[in-house]
Amino acid sequence: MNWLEIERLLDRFWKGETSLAEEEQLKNAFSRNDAPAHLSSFKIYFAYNVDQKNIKHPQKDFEQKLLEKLNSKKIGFLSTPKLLAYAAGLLLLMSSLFFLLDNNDASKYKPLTAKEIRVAQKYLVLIANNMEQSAAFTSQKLEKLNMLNKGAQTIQQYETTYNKQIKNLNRIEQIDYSFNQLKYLKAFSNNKIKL
Amino acid sequence: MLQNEFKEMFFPLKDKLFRFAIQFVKREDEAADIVQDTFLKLWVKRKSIKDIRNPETFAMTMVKNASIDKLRKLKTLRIDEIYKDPEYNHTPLDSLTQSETYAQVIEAMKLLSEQQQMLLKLRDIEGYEYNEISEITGFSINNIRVNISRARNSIKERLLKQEQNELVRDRTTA
Repeated sequence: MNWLEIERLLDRFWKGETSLAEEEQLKNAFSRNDAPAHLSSFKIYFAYNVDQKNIKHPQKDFEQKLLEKLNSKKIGFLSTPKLLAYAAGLLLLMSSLFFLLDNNDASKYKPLTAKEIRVAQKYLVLIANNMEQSAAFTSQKLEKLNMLNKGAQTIQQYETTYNKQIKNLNRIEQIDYSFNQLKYLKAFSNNKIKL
Repeated sequence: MLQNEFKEMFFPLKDKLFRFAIQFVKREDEAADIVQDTFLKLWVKRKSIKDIRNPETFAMTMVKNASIDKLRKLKTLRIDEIYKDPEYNHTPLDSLTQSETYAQVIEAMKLLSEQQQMLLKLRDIEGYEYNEISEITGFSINNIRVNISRARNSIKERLLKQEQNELVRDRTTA
């Protein structure tokens, strides 16, 4: 072992100038028992890092349990295509209501442009992502509740979950409302330009 | 992304993600929960994962964010409630943190800021490149280099000082 070279590397190591490959060289060098006395106090640092890297995830059956969860319906029951379909349906319904309730002549509205469709798609994806995240979050919480099997706590946590879902629904409604407002403003500005 | 692809890509990271989480939350059960939640979130996002340049650093970033969220929640608990938890003092790190063999390194580590400890562990234990650490932490590469250099120098000084103290002690006892 060329300890002069190792010492030179070590100087650069303290300065944060070594590459990962050079740092690996240092680890290997200090894993040996023939380090010079004046470098021996640094041996412990490299040994500590090697031992830390040996810390493993404590659950032996983690992968098996995770696969069971991934395969369970709870994770996938609200898939993106389904959500998109629901969101699109909701949007269509609200748009229809908006047009029906509006007293103005429907003929003044232009068909949606490509840009507007893209904006609508963006909103739909946002809604879908939010719903999917909240669905995953809720399913995890529900699973934990079953394991705890404490009646009173279960009721309390169901309430919490319910409130969160309501919040999410409100958020989606707010997004839809904002989207409709935007559409209305767009139509209004188009009219104004025409006039 | 199929389940097999997902398995091959992320399952080998479980120990690394666990080590990263436990650095923040210091509790085995909480860290394991964070890792599981991260895997479930990754599964939900599996369709967009192919567009991510480095899925490993993406997963590490998710663990970091989840750990910080968990810490915030834990801080809302009364501190005595946390310490009364019998599991609190039984983390896999304990065998190392309580070990006399590494007492000098542990002491030197304690003198570093949380940020420096995290950067040092990402580099010296997990072996990430500086640009990967930047992706995980959101810090600039220059900032990371400076902090790692300072942290390593601090450890070096501490180890040298401890060695000198031991020499003096040995001479006085002899």
